[in-house]
Amino acid sequence: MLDEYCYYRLTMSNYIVLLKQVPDVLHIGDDAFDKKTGNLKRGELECVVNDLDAQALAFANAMKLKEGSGKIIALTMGPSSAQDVLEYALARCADEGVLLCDPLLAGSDTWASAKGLGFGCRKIISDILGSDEDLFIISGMQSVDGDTAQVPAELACELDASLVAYATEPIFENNEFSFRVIDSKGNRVVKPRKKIALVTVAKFDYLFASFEKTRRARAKGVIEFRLEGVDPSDVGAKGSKTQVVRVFKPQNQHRKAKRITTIESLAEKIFESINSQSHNISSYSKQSAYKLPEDRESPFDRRYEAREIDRTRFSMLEKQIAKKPVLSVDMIGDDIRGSLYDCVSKDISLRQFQELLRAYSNTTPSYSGDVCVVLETCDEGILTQGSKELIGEANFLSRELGVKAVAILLTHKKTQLAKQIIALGADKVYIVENEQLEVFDPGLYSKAFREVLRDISPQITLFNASVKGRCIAPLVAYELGCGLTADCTSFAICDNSLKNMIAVLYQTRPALGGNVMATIVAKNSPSQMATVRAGVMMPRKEDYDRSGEVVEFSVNLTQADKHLDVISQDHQRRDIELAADVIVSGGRGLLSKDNYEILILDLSRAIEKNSGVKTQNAASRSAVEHGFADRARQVGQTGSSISPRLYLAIGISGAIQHMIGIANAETIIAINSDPDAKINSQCDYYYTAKAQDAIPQLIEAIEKIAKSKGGADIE
Amino acid sequence: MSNTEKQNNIDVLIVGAGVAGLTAAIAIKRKSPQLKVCVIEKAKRLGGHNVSGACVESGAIDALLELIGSELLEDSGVDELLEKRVQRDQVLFMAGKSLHLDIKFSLKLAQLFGLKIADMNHEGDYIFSSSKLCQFLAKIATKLGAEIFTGFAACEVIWDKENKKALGVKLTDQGIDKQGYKCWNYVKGESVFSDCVILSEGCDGLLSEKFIEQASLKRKCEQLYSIGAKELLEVSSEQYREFTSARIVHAMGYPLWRPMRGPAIFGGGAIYPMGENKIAVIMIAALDWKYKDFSIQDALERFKQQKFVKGFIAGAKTLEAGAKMIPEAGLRAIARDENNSIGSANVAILGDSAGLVNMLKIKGMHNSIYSGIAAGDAISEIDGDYSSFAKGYTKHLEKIGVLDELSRASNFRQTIKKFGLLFGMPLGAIGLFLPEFDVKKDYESISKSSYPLKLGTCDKPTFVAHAKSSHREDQPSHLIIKDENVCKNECMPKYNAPCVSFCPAGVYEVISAQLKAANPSNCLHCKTCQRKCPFDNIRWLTPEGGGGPDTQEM
Repeated sequence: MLDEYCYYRLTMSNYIVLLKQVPDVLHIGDDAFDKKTGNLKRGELECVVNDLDAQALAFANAMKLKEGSGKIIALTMGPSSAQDVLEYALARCADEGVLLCDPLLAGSDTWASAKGLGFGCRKIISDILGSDEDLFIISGMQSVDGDTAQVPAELACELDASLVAYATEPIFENNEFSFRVIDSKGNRVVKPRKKIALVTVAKFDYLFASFEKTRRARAKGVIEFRLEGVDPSDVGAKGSKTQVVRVFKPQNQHRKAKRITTIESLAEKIFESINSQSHNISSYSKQSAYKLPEDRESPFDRRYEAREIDRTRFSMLEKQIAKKPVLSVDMIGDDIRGSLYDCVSKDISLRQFQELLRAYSNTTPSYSGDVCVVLETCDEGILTQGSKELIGEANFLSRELGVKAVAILLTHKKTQLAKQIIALGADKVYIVENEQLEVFDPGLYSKAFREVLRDISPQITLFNASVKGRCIAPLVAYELGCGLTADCTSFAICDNSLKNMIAVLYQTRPALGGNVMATIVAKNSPSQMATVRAGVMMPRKEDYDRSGEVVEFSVNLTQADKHLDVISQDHQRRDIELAADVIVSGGRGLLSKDNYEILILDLSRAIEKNSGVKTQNAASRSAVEHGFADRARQVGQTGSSISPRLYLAIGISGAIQHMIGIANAETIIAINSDPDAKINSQCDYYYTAKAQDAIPQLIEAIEKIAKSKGGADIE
Repeated sequence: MSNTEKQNNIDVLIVGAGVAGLTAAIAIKRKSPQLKVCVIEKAKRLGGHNVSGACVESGAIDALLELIGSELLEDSGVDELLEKRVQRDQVLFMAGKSLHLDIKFSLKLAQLFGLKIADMNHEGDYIFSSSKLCQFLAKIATKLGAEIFTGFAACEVIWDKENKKALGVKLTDQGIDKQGYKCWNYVKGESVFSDCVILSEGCDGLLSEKFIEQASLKRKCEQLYSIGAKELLEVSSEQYREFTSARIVHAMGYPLWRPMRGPAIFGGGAIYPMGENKIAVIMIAALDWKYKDFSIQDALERFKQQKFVKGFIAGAKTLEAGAKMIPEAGLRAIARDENNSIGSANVAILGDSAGLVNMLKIKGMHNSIYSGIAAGDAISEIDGDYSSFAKGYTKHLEKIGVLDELSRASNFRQTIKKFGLLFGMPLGAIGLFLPEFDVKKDYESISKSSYPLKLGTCDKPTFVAHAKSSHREDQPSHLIIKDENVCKNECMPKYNAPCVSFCPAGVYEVISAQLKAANPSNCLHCKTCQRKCPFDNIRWLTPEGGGGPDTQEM
C-alpha cells in the first residue's frame, strides 16, 4: 500500500554535514579563567571540530559508500577562523566546504542558529545541488560546548524535515536508507518519511585524513555564503530567544574529600554511610521564596533582584526611602529626590540613581500564565522519576508566581495517573489520549504538545532532559517561537527591575562540558521553556488529599504529521532502575569487562548480603563505551542521574559530566589508582589503590565487620 | 594549482616538526622561497611529542633569529619566548637524600686550566619549553609558506636502491583493527614524492634508522642512549620566587651514583624554571645501567624527594610529564655514507636523529638548529640535481662548526662507559688523550642485580595521564615482541623482564606468565624498549598518526 504522505526516494542522495567549531573542552585548564573575575576567557581556548560532528561526517561518508554516489557538502557557521573545520572535512571526504559567515549571525542562540543554518542549507540546495532536495542532513547529536542537542531538531522544523535523532548506524536496503537509533528503551530502526531527513549521530566512527586531500583542501579553500533575504531580526543576537546573563565556575561540592588509608576503615565507612539517618528529601531546600511586587509589603522592596549589585543598591535606597514620608513611587517629588540622592551619592552615581528610581515603577510580571510540565511514563505506564521531580518543581514555581501548576500527559490508552500527578503537586492535569501515540514519533508527539500548549499558554514550560524530552522540546519550542534552555539544573524566579524584567525564570545549567555554569533567561518568547535534568530536583511527597482539575484534551493526529516509520524495535533489555540505596559503579580504570563483571558484581553482592540494603551496579560513560557494561547502566550527564545513600565509584576519574549525575548521592566513596584523580577532591572518602587489589580485600573486610556485628543489623 | 592535480608531489619533505625540522623549513623557505616544502609530524598537535630541557646556547638562537629576520619577528611572541636566560648556573653533587655540594667552583677552576669539562657552562643560555619553541617555529615556517601537517606518521623512506636516490616517504596505513583487518574507513598509507627528504625525527628515528640500513650508512661506534623523564610542576609563587626564572640546576650523584656503595649509573638530575610558577624537574640516566629493575621514574621520584630539590617543589601539582631518549655517543656514532655524508644522496639526517648532542655540554638543541640552517644552505646551492644534497649539508654542518665542536666531546661518553663513572668521568673530563675504542650496545649491560634505591611506588598510569598519551585503541600494537619465547624462557628466568620496570609508560606486563605489550596505547614514544631489552627482542613501529603524548609545555 502506498502511503501518500511518505516520500519515496527516487534519485541518489546528497549530504549536508553540519560541523561546529568548538573550544577544546578537554584542554580547559585553570588558566582559561580570568583570575579576577572568574570568567572564562573563551577567545583564548583552542578550537577543534565538535567530536560528534566529526563522527557525523564519517556517518555521511558511510552512507555515501553504501549508496555508491552523492555529494557531501560540509557546512559550518561562524567567523572565518571556522574554516579549519571545513578543512577537516575536505581532508577526509567532503566535496565542498561552505562557510556561512556574516556579522549579523554573531551571538546566535540555538533558535537563531537554526534560522541561519536553514538559510545555508537552502542555498546549498539551490546553488550547489541543483535544487535537488533528495537530501540527508547529518549532524552530531550535540556539541560539546553547548550540550543542548537543540539546533538539529530546530533546523528539522525550519526545513520541515524528518528528525532522526540519536542514530548509531545507517542501513541501506532495497535502495532505501533506514537508521538504527538509540531510544529510551534500547534501540530501534526507523525510516524517515519526509523528503529531507535530518539525522543526528549519537555514536559512530571517525575518518582518517589523507595527506593528498589535506593539501588539496588548503589549496582549494572554501565557499563563503553571506545572508541574503533573511530578516536580520531573526538571526544573531537579535533573533535569539534566550540570553546568557551570567557565566561562572561551578561551585565546589561540599564533600569531605578525606583520604582513607586502610581497607578496614574503608569498609567501616561503607557501613556508616548505609546506616546514616540523614537521608531525607528535606535536605533539598530552596532559598527564600519569591514574592511578586504586588504582594510585597513595600513597593520599594527589591530583594529579588537577580544581580547582587542591584540588590545592594536597591536596599541602600530602600533604607533611605524608609526614613522619608513616602509610601509609593509617585510620592517622590523633586525635593525628596534631591535629599535622597545626597544620602546615597557616595555609592551610586546620579545616572544610576535616576535609573533605580525609574525602575520602581516596573511592577508588572513580564510573563503571565501557569507553570506547565510535560510528563513521561515508562513502559508499565508509571511516571518516570524525572517527571515526578518536574511536578514538584512546577508546584514550587507556581506557588511563587501565584499561578497554577499544570501537567500534560500523553497516552495511547486510558490511564489512572491523574490522581498521582495531583498528589505530587499538580493543580491541573491535561490528559491527551490518542492511539497514534503508542509508538514514540517526534512529529506526532511534538504536534500533540504544541496543540495543548497553545491552549494553556503557560508562562513556563518544563520538559524532562531525557532521550525523548531532548528530542521533543526543541521541536515544540521552535514552532511556538519560544526560547529553550537545555539541561537545567536549577531555577530561580528573579527580577531585573532596571530592565523591566519582573518575575522572570532564571535558568542555570552546566555548559562547555561542565567547565562552567551559565544562567540564561528567555527573551522574545511567549513561554519560558527548559529541559530539566533528572535527579537534580526532588519530588514532593505524595499527598492524596490534594485536589485538582483533570482536563481531557483531544488532538487530531494524521499520517502527515509523522516523521518516522518504525521498522523494528529491539527492547530486549528492561529498564534498569538505578534507584537502589547503594550503587556500585565502575569506570575505565577497571581495564576490562571481566574485571567489571567480577569486581563490581562481587562487591555489590557482598554489600547487599552483609548490610541488607538493595544495591545496583552502574558504570561511567567510558566504561560503557568500552563495553564493560550496558548503556542503561550509564550514570552521568548523558546517562541517568541518581541519588543513592552511597555511591561507590571504582576506577572512575571523576569527569564533571559524571559528577553531575551523582551530585545528589548522599555519600560518595571513590577507589582509584590515581592519587590525583579528579574524583578524590569531589567525593567524601577516597582510597588510592588498584581496584583489582583493593576490592577482594574490601569484600573480606566487609564480611569481617558483618560477622563481628553478629548479623544483628541484617534484616 | 588545479583541482584534479595530484597533491602528493613536492620539492622538500621534512619528517618531524621538531626544532631541527622546523628550522630547516624556515631556512629553506627563506633562501629558496619557490620550493614546495612540507613538514609531517606524527603528533596530533604541534609540540605534543617534544620533550627537552631545554637550555639553548645563545649563539644558536641568535643565528635562528637572524635567519627569521626582524620583520617576521614582529608580534610573533618571540619576546615572551626569550624571556628566561640563565644567570645562575648551579652544578651540585648530591651526596645523599639530604646532603649536596655545590661544585660549580671546581668547574670554574677547570675552566682556568682549560679542561674540557668546563664546557658544561650554561650562563647566558636561553631556557625554553621545547613544545613552545616548536609552536613558535611552526608559526614562522607557515608564514613563510611551508606547509605543516600534524597527525601524519611515516613508516619508511622510499629508497631507489639501484639509482641510490630517495623518491619520497611512505606514510603509515590508517584504519586497521587490532587483528590486522582493514576497517571500512581504512586509508592506505600514501606515498609522498619529493625531490629530497630531510629526516628530523628526533632520537632513534624510525625512518632514520631504517634508512641507515637501506642506504648502508656506517657508524664508527655504537650509538649510546640515555632516557630522560621530565615533570612540569606548578609550585607556589614563594617557591618560584626563591628559585627565580634565571637559575638552572644540574645535579650529579644521588640517586644515580653513590661512590663505592652504588648505584652507579651515568646521568643526573636537573631543575629548570618554566615561567609563571612552573618548574621542571628532570632525571636523565644512561641506558647502560646494569640493574634489571631500574625505572627512570624511581630515580626521578628520589630526586624530587632530595632535600634541596624538595624545597622548591614540595606541595607542587604536576601539570605535564614526558620521557624521551637522548643520543649520547657523539661524533663517532653519527652514521655516514661512503662519501662521509650525514645522510646519503638526496636524504639528510638532522638533529637528534643524526646524534648531534654534545655530552660535554650536555646540550644538543643548538646543534639541531645549526643542522636545520645547514640543510637550508645546502638546498639553496642545489641546481636541479638533489643527489648532492647530503654532501652539501654535511659540508655546511662542518662550516658552521658543529662537527668541530662535537669532536671536542668525542670519546667523553665512551670513556665513562669503558672505565666506569669513578675513573671514566675524570679521564673524560680532563680530555686526556685516549685511543678511540669500541663500546658495547646499551642493552648488553643488564645484570641480575637490583637498583639499590628502588622505590617501587612510582605510579606509571598517573605519569602517562600527565603526558596525556593516547592512541586509537583498535589498531595493531605498534610494539612488536619478536619472539615471545625469548621473554618466557630466557629473559624472565634470568632478569625478570626488565621492560616491565624500565618502560616509563608501563606498556609491558606479565600476564599469565607471558610477557605482553599489554598497553600500547600508553606509549610515550621514547623507544627505550627497543634499545634496552636485554635480548634486543622489541621493535617500535610508528602507530597511526595523531597518537602518543599530547603535552604542550614540555
